[in-house]
Amino acid sequence: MLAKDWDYAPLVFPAKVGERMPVFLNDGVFEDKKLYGITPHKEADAVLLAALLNSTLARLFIEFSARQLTGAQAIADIDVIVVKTLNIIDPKKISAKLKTRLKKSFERLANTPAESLFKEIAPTPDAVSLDEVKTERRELDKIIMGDILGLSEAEQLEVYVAVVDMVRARLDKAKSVGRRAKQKGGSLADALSQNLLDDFRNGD
Amino acid sequence: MELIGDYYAEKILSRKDLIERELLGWVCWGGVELQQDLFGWKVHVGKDEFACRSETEARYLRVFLDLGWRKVSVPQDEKYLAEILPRLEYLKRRADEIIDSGLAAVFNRKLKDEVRRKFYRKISGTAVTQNPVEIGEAA
Repeated sequence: MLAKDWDYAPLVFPAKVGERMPVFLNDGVFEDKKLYGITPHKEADAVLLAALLNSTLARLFIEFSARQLTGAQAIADIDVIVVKTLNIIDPKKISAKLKTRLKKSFERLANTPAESLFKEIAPTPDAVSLDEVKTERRELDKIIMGDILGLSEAEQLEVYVAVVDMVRARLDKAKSVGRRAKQKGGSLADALSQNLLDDFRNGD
Repeated sequence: MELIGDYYAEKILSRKDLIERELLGWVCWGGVELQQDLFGWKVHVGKDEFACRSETEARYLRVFLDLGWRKVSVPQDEKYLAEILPRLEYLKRRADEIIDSGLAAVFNRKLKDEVRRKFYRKISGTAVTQNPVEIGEAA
């Protein structure tokens, strides 16, 4: 039988991300190749870990490490090794007070729908403003980037801008492939090969 | 990065000591192997083999066989061939790396092969228009 005596992983991480990247608290879904299971060393840390993984900073690190595919799809592919080696703040080094704030803040975020980052943060890099970030997300990010890491507001703004910029660039690339494929006489193979050619020309 | 076709046009077609080699027999990717026996170096492609004067020439031919070329000009100066080969192999290796990472999520083999063929044709670019070299379709 599949996964006999297998415990549910307390957290599941999506193997592909688009505009959204929710990392779920889990108590009833088996992990598989599309949903990676994450089991914290201490079970009690699951919520804390969920808070860290759902932050915009984690998203930034993921965007750096994920495979961007051909651009034919708007998603990025996250290998399991990327998740395994993802850098996050060591929960042991977070004070008890901040841990409590983080967990509460995450619970508030978890009670809202996980929306596109273009909605939660800003539709374009130029439009990013700390005041316009979704309140619950901003609250969580503020604790992580401000209170724990000590980033200034300008630096936090840069993190948001970078994330929006990277995801926007990926989507724009996907659209350009779609457009190429739709051109008269064009095919998906033409569009993909043209994309590879662009990557080749831009390489070192 | 320059296209393999551009590199070929600049570094090879500009020379006078060229011998044209027919590369008929190409069938698919990944089936090209080099072998050295008592009679020298050979490139094996399926049931066909191409005798070469040296390992350098064999490696040179392998690049173009892999790309699906049907004819290629080979400089006779062995030293010069050895000089240009590393860059040529590097360009081919980078092309394959880009294909592998770019098509990692494409599982349709037919589409993958078609993209690879078109991509190889594109990076072979300029040479096609400057020289009667043809890029082969799968036999």
